[in-house]
Amino acid sequence: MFAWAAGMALVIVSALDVPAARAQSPAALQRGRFEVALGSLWIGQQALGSRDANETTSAGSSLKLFGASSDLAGAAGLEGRVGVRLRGSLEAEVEASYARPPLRIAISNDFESAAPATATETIQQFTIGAGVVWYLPYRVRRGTRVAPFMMAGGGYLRQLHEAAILLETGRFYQFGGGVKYLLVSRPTKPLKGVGARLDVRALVRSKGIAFDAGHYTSPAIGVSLFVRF
Amino acid sequence: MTTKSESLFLFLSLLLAVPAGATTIIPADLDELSRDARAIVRGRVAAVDPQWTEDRGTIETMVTLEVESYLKGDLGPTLRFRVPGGELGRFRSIVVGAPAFAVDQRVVVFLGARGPSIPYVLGLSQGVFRVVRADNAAWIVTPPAILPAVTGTVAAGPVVRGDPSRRALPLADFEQRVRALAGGPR
Amino acid sequence: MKRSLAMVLVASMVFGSAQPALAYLKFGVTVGGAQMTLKWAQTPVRYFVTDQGVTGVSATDLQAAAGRAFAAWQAVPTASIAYQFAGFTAATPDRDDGLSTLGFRSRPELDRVLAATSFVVDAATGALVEADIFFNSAFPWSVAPAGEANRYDLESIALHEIGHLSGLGHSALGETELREGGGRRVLGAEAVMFPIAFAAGSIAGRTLRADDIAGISDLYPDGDFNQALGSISGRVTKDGQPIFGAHVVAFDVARGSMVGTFSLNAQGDFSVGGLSPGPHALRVEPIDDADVESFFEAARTVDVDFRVAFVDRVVIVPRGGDSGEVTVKVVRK
Repeated sequence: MFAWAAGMALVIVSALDVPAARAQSPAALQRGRFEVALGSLWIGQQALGSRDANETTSAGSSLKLFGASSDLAGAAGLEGRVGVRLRGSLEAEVEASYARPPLRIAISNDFESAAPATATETIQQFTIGAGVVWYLPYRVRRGTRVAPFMMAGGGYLRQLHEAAILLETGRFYQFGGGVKYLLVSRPTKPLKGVGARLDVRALVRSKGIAFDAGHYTSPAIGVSLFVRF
Repeated sequence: MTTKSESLFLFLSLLLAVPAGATTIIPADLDELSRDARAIVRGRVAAVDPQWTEDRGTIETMVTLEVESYLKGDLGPTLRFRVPGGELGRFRSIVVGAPAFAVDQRVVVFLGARGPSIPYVLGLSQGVFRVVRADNAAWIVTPPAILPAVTGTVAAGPVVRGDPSRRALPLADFEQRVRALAGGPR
Repeated sequence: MKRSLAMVLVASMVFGSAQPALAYLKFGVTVGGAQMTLKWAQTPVRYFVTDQGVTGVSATDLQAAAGRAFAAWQAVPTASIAYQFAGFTAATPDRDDGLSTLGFRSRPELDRVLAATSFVVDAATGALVEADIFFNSAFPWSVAPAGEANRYDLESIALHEIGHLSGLGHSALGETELREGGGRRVLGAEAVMFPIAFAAGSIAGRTLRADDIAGISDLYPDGDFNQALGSISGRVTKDGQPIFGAHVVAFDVARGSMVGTFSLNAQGDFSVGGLSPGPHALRVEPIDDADVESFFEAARTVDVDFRVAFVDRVVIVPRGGDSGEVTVKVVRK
């Protein structure tokens, strides 16, 4: 999953015409120190595992009454971010997101041939976290508006079941990459620039809605608009 | 804490036996019951008489049945059989899981007997089927019995709940099948 | 000595008093027009053991096996019930003598009853005075640690009957099979309180399951049972009409455990408790496999004319609370 995300980021970068130049991020991105972004986020499916409803046989073994396979389906959400430039190619950012992924339990193979069914509910998922962005040190052409980057971060996760009757918390970690594109560059103004950001990441979650002690991984794609000050 | 605002209760008449069986049973299907019964009889409950057991240790109930039809055997136009438990005076003894009877009920009972003694119901409540009116006013037998094929060969396999073939049978169909099973080979 | 108390027991299924959620069926009693759950008001529950054995099982063996079974129920961490062996007695369990007695009795007329529990209740107060368990000596019994072929495991059956002695009814969490040549056997059961015994020789019934634990904890809650666990409640309907006697099973998808209950009134209402917080799947089925009267009296009122179905909504059990109304719609066979 992470390889897929990284690969997509490289394809995007390669598609942009960035012949060799200075090894740094675009100038406008350097001038602005602070960045505020708002956009949408798509989180891919997270498989939560399968568990059978078993009964005990006379011999002490198991008789499967039915099987249940669960996942958090992919969902779109909102994401906001505030970043600050630390040094030439490094930025720190804090972020928050909100999404409503469906929790699905697919039931099948009922011992008494009941029709398969899928039980669902919608989760409200909130995250808040921090991370770093590292602009790739490749040689850029003067005046280019494109800045590829790598990112990593993590934070706190809250998942609220329907009707808000049960809250589950956990942590998330994310790794990925993307590209920023300056739509407007105004070096002499307080508002230094406006741009768009696309990133692809691997999202790793622990705890929260979990049926074991493991980690759950899914892809995520973020698209946002940002302004720099 | 969110809870239901009211408790839920279901209560049955004092005259009825305990519905939730507190027994461990060996299941007997209709084939077994039919073969092992000394008599299989449909009738109307004419009397329900509790009495002390011979050793006066506990209470049992004698049920008098006005016979409508014998599906197996013949114990006369009126017969009595015993059921454990009952209410006598200020005392009530309950063997949870024992069948309950009320006057004027129509039932089909599978009876066993040891020698000339008073018969008893086979398999406790397993040997009792109620004859009741269906929604269309026809007589049916409940609960739905697990029946082997008419040929007498039991179709082995899991008992599937919700199986469309497992319905309360019309009385005539039930009796026809029981007669066939009762007369079938062991 | 026979207590000069009126003993009246009304067969009923009671949905708790202050605690509305039930694991499954319990016994109840009517006293002065008020309905009360049949349960021991004081613990430890003192019991005697008849000083008669059977072939292969002495009275001491019976007492030891029963002691292990009592200990299993007492060890449930979320339940507060306790038991105490009070000694051997010459009295048999079929005597109404004010003593709770376990013992063997020859009951050939109960030809398919391995064991049975009976009660004596104080009609004035509704207090449970006596509960006896008889093990039918017409059957072969065993107390062998690994079981014995063709002999019924005494500890397993005792565990089931002691559940009744404590006030629990039957559970419908089990599957049966018709056998070639006739008869029926248990394929699987996920409750010690399933009414049909495992085959002779099996010792699989010596371990309490989630359904049993939920039931005994609901009757005798201990510690933070009511605060740590939760319940699911709702209604079962068919063609828009409520139905009685539907078997509802809550499956904990995180832990793989099952707890069952029934729709127990004319409104089709059900409530299943003792559930761990989190998502559950609900399965609903009729109890139409010919043992309806193991659960309910007046079998005619039990609706068995519907197909097994799953609820298409993930039901969330909160911590210390109820899921909120879940409507289950079933269709005719």
